[in-house]
Amino acid sequence: MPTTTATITLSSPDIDAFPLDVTSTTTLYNAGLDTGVEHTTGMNRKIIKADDTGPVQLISTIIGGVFMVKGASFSSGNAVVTQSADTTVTRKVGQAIIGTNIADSTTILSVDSSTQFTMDKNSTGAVSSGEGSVAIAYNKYTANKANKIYICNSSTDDSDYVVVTINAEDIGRLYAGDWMLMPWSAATSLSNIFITAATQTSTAIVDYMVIGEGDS
Amino acid sequence: MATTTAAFTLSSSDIAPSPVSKSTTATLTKAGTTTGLEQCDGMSRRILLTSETSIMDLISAQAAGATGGAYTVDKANKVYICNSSTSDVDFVLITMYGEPIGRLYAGDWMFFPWGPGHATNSDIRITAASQTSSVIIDYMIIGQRNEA
Repeated sequence: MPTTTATITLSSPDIDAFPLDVTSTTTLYNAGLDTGVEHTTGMNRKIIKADDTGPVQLISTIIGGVFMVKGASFSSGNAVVTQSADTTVTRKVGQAIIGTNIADSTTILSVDSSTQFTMDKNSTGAVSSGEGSVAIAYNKYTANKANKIYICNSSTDDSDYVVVTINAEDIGRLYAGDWMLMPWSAATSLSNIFITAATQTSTAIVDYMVIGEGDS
Repeated sequence: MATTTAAFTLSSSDIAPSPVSKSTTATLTKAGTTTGLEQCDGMSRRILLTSETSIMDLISAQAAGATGGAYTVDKANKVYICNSSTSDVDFVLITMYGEPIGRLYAGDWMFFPWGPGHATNSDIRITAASQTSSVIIDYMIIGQRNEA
């Protein structure tokens, strides 16, 4: 079992009447346990050019990718999907479904059998076995797990910042040199983390890492 | 001008093939400047009884009162929150504007920039829905509020 620790030290001799000196160290455990987290993405870097002013996805809840559903078929306006049995793919309620004639933001409502599951939205058209493409998005990060996000704006221009958002909700601005560490619920498949460098005057450099337990 | 630093160290000898050792220190400055932050709310503590399972405000964007939000989206404010409880199974869920951010388990802390984009609804809320014992939350804001 790995042992990973995260320590913060906040210090200031003069921001308050008394010196500020706060240090806290946490050992990163799996949710509700005292076993250490075992997954990490390693440190990643994203460079955003000055003309990249729109939202950029930094971390995705489905970073693990997708599994194709073998022999998927369904009728138009129906939520029940039949498929060929496939022991290599784990299907879970809440996983996102994407593909031909699948409505946006569709997820698995129930896993009915080895050859059938039901979506939470009706299909927008029919798909016959062997036709079209239907896939299950592999949720690497799920709501009931302990995952931590580290993001650092490694840029150097004081006036530049990136706005960090989760599911389109602004968290705050990371100015040059600022860092953040927060738990990440990945409450839904839409809980992706984006950054927006809307007004930067030079290239923005953002380093980031996920440490946690994924959906293990 | 005050000088305040926030240092972060992440360390693990065995979570990856190579040891992980990351250290970062940020000097906390006002938005878009090199001027140090000057306002600090001091460390606060909130204790939630096991019966307090509903969502509740921890930090309000309008802490200054009815004249307007004390914390605004265009300023540099940093929030520190620590779950100082000791029960491994207990956690508090942090939310902003109804969006779940993440679960802070016992001993966990978080430090993040806070730019309330909604004057009245960007409050930081906590929910200790399933705790087995009292939850102790320590928190602090260092920033510039809505000062010029």
